[in-house]
Amino acid sequence: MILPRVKPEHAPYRLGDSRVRIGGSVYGIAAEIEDPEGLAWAALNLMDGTRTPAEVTEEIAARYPELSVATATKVVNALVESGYIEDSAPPVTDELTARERERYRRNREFFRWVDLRPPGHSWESQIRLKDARVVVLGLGGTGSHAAWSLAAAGIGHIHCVDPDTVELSNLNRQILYTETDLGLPKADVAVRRLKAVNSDITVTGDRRRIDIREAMASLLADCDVLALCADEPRGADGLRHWANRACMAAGIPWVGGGYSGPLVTVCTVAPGGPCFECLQAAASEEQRRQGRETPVELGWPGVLATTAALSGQLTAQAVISLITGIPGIAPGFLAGLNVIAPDHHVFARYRRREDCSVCAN
Amino acid sequence: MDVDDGTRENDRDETTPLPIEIRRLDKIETTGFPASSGNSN
Repeated sequence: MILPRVKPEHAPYRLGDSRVRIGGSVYGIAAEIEDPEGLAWAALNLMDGTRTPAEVTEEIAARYPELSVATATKVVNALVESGYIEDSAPPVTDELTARERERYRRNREFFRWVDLRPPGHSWESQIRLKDARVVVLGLGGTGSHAAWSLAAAGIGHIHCVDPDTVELSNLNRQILYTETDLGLPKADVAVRRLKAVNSDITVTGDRRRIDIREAMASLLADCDVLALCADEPRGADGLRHWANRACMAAGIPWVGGGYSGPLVTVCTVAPGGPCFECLQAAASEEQRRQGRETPVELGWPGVLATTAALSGQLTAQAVISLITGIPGIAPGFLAGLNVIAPDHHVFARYRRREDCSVCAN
Repeated sequence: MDVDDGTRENDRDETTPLPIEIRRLDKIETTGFPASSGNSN
């Protein structure tokens, strides 16, 4: 860090005489600093992008003569490494063009806001997105929104897979298609539309139907993350299980999103587990334990554009989180929301089964 | 830059705790409307 300054989104303010709030008012980011001597407040105000850490330390040591230089140095280092500070003169990266830096400047500000890891420079997350290849399997309610968001975010290569054609009944929720696309292959339309959204990325399409287990592995070649936005064939030997096994075997994380009426959920699975089979087994065991097994079909297709969009966007956010490393739905977690019951927060964490045949090894 | 010559109080005590503590908040009640609706350029 050459010339530290407080990130603008994290501007500090004092709470009474002995505390400093930093990081705004968003849970997961904000912090308070116990600062009875006013030391942190002074150091943060000195970090305005014009002084080196050594110069800030020198000034603090001069203002607080009772403090050792070693302690002043530790205080300044703790603040610099807290994640609320950035370098006002970061090295210029040549991995993004001037056009990309303009296109993604709000991305950069978002990442700067939520990423509390000490940065090398503030474009690191965007470069990770640019270098990534994501397969979006299924371009329906969840997948069309997820693919759009990933394209807008700047994923370097998006591979779109869907065997179906656009139907009129898709247009209530699937954002990539219009009435002029009726009857056309979704994969083709999606590629055209996503390239129109972002011509700085590579978008490819595939009309394959993944209806046998063996097809999954070939789909994942050079893939960094799979966005699984399809669920058929269903069942214990169905698509989600194939995806889970292929991803675990290839060491590829995957994200699954979906909805059940007003309930929208997303889960993240990463190599090493817990995997989807651990999740399913734990959920089934919990249902059995509570005596609330569901022997009837509950997967009815009612959906609005709103719930499809939430499903797709939560999926895209989880993909972005996996690629960039920003906080998000960690592997092994299931999260979601219920649009007709805002106080119903879906959040569950599953443990890896020690005897899981898919991820235990 | 001042030289740390060990004459200042506390210099010899490497276990002295930092005089500040940065603590991520465990819980924040969000009651305000989101600040941005995203229509600005």
